[in-house]
Amino acid sequence: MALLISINFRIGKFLNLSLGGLFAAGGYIAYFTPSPFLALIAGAVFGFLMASAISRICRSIIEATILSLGAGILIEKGLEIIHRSSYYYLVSFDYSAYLPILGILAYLFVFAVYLSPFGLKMKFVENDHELAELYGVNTKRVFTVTTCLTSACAVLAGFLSSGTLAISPTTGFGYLLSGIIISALTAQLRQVGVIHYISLLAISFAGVKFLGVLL
Amino acid sequence: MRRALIEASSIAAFGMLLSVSPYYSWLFVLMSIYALLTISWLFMKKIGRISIGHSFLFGFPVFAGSAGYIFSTELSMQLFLAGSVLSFFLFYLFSELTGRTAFVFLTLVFSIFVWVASPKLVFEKEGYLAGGEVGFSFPTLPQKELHITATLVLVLIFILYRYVERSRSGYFMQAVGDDETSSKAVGINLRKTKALSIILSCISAWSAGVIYGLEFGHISPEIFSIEISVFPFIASLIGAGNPLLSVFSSFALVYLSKILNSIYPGLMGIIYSVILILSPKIGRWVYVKGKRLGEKS
Repeated sequence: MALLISINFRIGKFLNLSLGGLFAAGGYIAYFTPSPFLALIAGAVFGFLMASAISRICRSIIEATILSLGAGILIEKGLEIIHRSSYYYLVSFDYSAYLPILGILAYLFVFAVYLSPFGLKMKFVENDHELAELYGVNTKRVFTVTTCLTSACAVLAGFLSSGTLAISPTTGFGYLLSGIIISALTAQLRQVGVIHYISLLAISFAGVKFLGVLL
Repeated sequence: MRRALIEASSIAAFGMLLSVSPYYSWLFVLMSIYALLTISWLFMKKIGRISIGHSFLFGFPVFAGSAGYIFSTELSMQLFLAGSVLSFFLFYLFSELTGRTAFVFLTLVFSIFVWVASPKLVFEKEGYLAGGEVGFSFPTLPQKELHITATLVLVLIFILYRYVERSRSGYFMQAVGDDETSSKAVGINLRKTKALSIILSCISAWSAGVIYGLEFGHISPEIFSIEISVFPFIASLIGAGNPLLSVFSSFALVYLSKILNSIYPGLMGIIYSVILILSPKIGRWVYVKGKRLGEKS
């Protein structure tokens, strides 16, 4: 979650508060239609819609963050209205063993992307958004791709964690909060690119080792 | 000041109108609570700080007080005072340490943290457990007295807001809200101005919290929920930042939430989320309309 928040903030230039809702939605997808591909596609489509809305109507970090908060509440309330029951427990199968694999794959993917020509553009946008735009980088495309991928990963993470959780619309908030705290702490190191994400991984491990997943 | 008194009279008249039946009296008290929360938010906005975690200021002192109430009334009052001081100190600290953008994030993250963490607070007394997701009990007031108290508090705080707005301190707050560096350059004491604005915001939020406790006789962790945090932002957005319109938009939102949630529970949450998603557009539209109206008059 810290990785997703950090990528979104550094490249997308907003704090994506819908990730908590997307994580919870992943849990519900695992309960009702246990298909990881559906989780990925649903997350990517939601991310695309949110990125389009942000590009069209938002002019600042605060506006984009508030829009993402609204999107997160929309998912939470939508789930609450559709599924009246408070909690669901997934007992027939448990995907949580795949969660570390997803984490490793996500990191490898991020590293691979950063080493590619597209990653160079991402790094440019991360360092200086306006300068990147001046030099002809399609920042809107970078932003859309980033938001789609992070949203898809959040839904997949919720999908894979569902076996160990009491699934409810607010399931994702604790993870979102932990992720924000970890990414805020890592941001203090003022690193960029792959080195930043390695530090993020180290701080996440240290956080889980000494404090556990918050709440 | 005359205008403020006329506006305050319209709020009081509305309160009197709704005292006709017990249900509407109860509803007006609830409307007053949220209107006080909105005024509290507007006080903070004066210094350019947008709080999306206002549920902490509103709920923390009364939550701490209710936790102490299971042991004794004295402890309840002491914890309420301690909670009030802590909430003021934290928000002041946030405003000193962070810029405008980081303040939004910090207040939101902090309120979510308290919302998620507060159900972990459980006490045992004489073999009974209190707290958790259920929360704590709180003393109540008879409806008639509560109605009068809520009306008086709302009217007084509204007048205070209008008075401060037109005072020397109010202009200082406005200047700090527009540009901190420039206001420092012209000799405005930033710390004092921020502290004054936040203490006024706190007074309004604390009063709302106490009336909330007295209305329901019970405080649960839901007092820190995101819906409460974003409420003043939405009410102020609809009210175009005008204090009187913001108070009446708070009334309207509370009434609408009662109607919609009775049709289908949780429906108002959808409306809130749609308003938040469209907030940049709504904000700009309201700003342009307001400017045009200003040009015409």
